[in-house]
Amino acid sequence: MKELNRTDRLTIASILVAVILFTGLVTLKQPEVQYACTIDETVNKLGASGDVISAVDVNKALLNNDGSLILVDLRSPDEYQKSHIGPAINIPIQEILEKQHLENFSDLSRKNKTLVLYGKDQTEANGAWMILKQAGFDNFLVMEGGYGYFAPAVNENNNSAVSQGYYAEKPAYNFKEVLESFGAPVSSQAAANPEPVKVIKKVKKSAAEGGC
Amino acid sequence: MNKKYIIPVVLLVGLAFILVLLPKKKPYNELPAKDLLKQVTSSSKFISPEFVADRLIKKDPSMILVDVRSEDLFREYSLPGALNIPLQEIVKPAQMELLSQEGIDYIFYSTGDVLADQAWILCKRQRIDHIYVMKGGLNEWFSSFFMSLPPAETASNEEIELYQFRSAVRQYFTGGETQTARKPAGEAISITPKKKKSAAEGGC
Repeated sequence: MKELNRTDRLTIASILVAVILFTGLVTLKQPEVQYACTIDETVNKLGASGDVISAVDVNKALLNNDGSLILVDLRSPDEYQKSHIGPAINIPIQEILEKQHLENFSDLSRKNKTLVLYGKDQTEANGAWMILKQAGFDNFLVMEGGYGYFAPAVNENNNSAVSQGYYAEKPAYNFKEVLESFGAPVSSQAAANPEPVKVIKKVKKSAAEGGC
Repeated sequence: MNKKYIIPVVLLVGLAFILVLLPKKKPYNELPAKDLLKQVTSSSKFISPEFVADRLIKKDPSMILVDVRSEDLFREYSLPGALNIPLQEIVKPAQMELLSQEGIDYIFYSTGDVLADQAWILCKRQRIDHIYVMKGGLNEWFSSFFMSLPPAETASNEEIELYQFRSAVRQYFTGGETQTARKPAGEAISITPKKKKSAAEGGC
């Protein structure tokens, strides 16, 4: 009798362990939207250009009306109501990872449609683009310059300054020349390496201390 | 062998198999995509050039500028005291370690703010705190400090103060005599201190 009890207890204990581990594994919280590429893959994807489309090209596609591009307005519904680019649909940037939109995006991706993101400025669209890229969508483009830039760019199609395109990271000034024009001794300042920044060693968090 | 051990052994071996078959965990504990999106859309990631200039002039030791442009562009011109970490390098372990130092605000800048924002998003995914993007980048830095025109006679006090501050910054960075460069009021950016992880304390 005693022997049997011991066996039972052992069995019950191991079954309990198994059940606890199993439920733990099953209910393990997984983020809703998974990253499709590692951080290093993302960095490499950033290096490839061609993810930006010019306002003029967007306009051409709209005029052709061939449905090859789908415009997405990332601004708030209020701003969208006031004015937006013709056929654009409104998905506020905060909502781009909602389930219904994601399903829609993968649907369009299967149909080889390209979506063009624009926001109030290029940085906003770029943020959304990076999130979607990391979530595994490769069928998105960023419109250069943002919403405010579209109308002047399209209206002044022949303007040489505009047709050269807009590049968010293009210097607006020759920084050195501007500094020199204000009498700064630039040449020496630029040649000399900037002061080395002292790197303060991270203080290790002390492990549990104390005790008697 | 004792029969009573068979059931637990079978169970544990089965569990061991399940554990082996589980997908490999990612090396970093990354910020989930939805939380990353929240961070990306918050406006607190931007810091104005005026705020950066103010801290630079005060030689604030808790701020380090990070130039995410290429090495060539950095050599040609960079803000005083800036570190150069090109975008392609930024998620390398050494840089991650550097950027996760506590008590230091890292301010990313590039020519505009798209490149800096990209670097910022990458770092945020790796759960780096205390990083900011300089709004408008060097282009805005130059347009506010070097290209701003004096305000009209009828301008509000704030506008005049802002202009005076900008002129003072310009003089500071071009080697002119320094006026008192005081940042215009009403632009306080609150920086929430990181919660200290308390080490497990022992005792009796």
